[in-house]
Amino acid sequence: MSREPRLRAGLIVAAVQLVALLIVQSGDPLVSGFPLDDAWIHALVAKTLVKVGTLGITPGMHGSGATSTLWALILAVGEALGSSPPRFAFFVNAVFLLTSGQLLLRLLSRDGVSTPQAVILACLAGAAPNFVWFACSGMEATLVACASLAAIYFWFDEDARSELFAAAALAVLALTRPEGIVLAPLLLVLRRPTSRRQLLRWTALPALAVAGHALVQFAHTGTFSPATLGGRRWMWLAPFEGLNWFEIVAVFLGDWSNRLSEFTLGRLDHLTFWFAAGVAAIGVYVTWRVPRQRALLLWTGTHTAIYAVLLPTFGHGGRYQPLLPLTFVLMLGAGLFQLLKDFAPSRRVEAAGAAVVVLLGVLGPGSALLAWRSAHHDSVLHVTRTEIGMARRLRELPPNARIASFDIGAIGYFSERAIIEIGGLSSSEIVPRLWQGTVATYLEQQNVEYVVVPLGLGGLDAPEPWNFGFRLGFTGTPHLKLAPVASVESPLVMWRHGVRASMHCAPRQDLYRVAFEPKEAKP
Amino acid sequence: LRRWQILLGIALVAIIAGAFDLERTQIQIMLAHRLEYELRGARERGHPVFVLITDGAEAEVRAEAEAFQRVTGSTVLAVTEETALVVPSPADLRYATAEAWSVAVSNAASAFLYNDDLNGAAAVVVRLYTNELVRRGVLPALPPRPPIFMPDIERHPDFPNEAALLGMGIMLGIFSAYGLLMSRRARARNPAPAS
Repeated sequence: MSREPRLRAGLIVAAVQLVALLIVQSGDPLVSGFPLDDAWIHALVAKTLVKVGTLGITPGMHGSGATSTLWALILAVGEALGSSPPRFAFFVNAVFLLTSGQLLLRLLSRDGVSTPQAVILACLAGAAPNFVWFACSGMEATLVACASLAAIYFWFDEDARSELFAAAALAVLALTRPEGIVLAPLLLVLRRPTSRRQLLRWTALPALAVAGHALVQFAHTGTFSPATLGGRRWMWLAPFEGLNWFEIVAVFLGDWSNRLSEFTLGRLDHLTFWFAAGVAAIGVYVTWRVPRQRALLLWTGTHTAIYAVLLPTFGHGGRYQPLLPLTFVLMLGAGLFQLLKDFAPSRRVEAAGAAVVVLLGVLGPGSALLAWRSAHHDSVLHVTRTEIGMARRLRELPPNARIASFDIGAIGYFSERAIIEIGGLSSSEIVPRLWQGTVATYLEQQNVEYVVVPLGLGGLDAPEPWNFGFRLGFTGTPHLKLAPVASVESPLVMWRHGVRASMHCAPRQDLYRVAFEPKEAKP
Repeated sequence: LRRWQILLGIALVAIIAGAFDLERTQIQIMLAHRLEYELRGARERGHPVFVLITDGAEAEVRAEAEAFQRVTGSTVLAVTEETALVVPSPADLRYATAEAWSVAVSNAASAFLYNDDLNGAAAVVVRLYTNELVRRGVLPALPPRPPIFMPDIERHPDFPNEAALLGMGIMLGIFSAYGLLMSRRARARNPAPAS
């Protein structure tokens, strides 16, 4: 592609992505908050880094709550500049989103896809609603996708500069998410180095980044795996107690099929997803022959498989597997174009078919963008009301009060109090107690005076899904006495609407005064 | 060509098998496994119990559950799209009358059934039963058992098990039909030389 058409194609893709991004973000036009408490966790890590030099949520505990080192470092720049965390994260993520679109366009062109088709595919995939929302989520998901696309794009180029770019992208990916390093061996299998020097150029930087990061983490926490993994496994997988791994993975895949149907294709019914998946399978079949798209496809599958083994869940709003919506829409588009190419009797019919593809893309995913807009609005409002609302209540407590909380993001960021985290994100010490339901003993050991618990609208006594007082074993610990101090919640309908899309957090946060009665002596 | 034909055949079988039983009243297969796990502890402690997911008028379902209880000696937790009821075994009759059991589960399930959420209703009925056994000291209270599934108050469609089978059949059908057509086209363009 010559320079001018390439520029025009790039501008079209950027414009479509920007419109999609603004549609979703218009749910919170002033970018006043994050839709997830986890995004506030990253902001808290950044704040702690800037204030006391610890890369973690707890001063002095490196790695505590920090799932993404690089993302926390990026947010720390905003924190140091005094910028609002949601606005800074949105700005940075918007840049990563638009860069992803450009990389996708170039990647398709280098794979030999014609310019009009590459533009339509890059627009459809780069503006896939769930993928666009990642840029509004305040999380590192868009950076993961951007670094993956960059690594794949540059890996298959011949010149030495591209080799270094590929290595840099892999290092960025590994520092953003630890599992990202798996992309390096995958790419090495797909295109083998021709010399030792090339191998070194490709792998030295990512290996250095991963080794350095792992050693620092091991020195501070005594483990190579992220401190957050144990707590997250309990949170997501405990409800599946009794199911075997295959069944849990089946639920995971089923959840993704529903999510792709409702929040990417814009329809939730029995069959839309499966028809789309059939066409996407044709897309997979035809793109298998071209190197970059095959690499993207394999990386998306491998990344999903890694989660299927370690943590079979899609996470908040699908953020654990950010490439899946993008790659699915890309394959769906590729399949539709292949059908047109094979069965359209003339060029005119083929062009009309391409117009139909664009129309379907506007109608289906377009409606999903509007659904995300409304869900984003409700999610931001809910997290602000409950998590930040509770943080403000905590500010009224004595400065030296011993406070524990399950949710730690906005509460840690805004409360201006030292919070003892009891969700298993800071250290793996508490994780066995989560599984045993004996977190109350931890509160006792730590002389906790106040505890913040996420609850459902039925309160502490109702054994319902969001009652963490029940899940943590508080209601089953007779000598633990909880006296209500404050409660913040959102209306049920608003909470439900947001949580369906983003899985943000519990409908209510309650603050209790903690007291332990002496245990009865055994006769 | 044969490879595509086999794939298409498998797809058709999946579509037929999936569509055949699509309308049967049932709960998600993973939830059924989860509930079985929940009830296993009760059975091991001398409280045989079964969940009956069915459809029909309350009188018919009650008669069906009572017959099942007589034959097996188990407590029957029956859940339909309209109601939920319990026909307790002699062991569970010690804790409450049959009517009291049924009123309790019917009240708990009604919030779910109002929203056509059969999965949620079945989960809450089973959880209510096991909670009662925990309260009576039959089942251990700790560790706290996490929630089973979220209640669905937005009436988003429940996908029956067969919908996934049907869907996978459709996906495979589209793919294999494409492959078949393309293979035939390729063969027509390049016919095999006559032997």
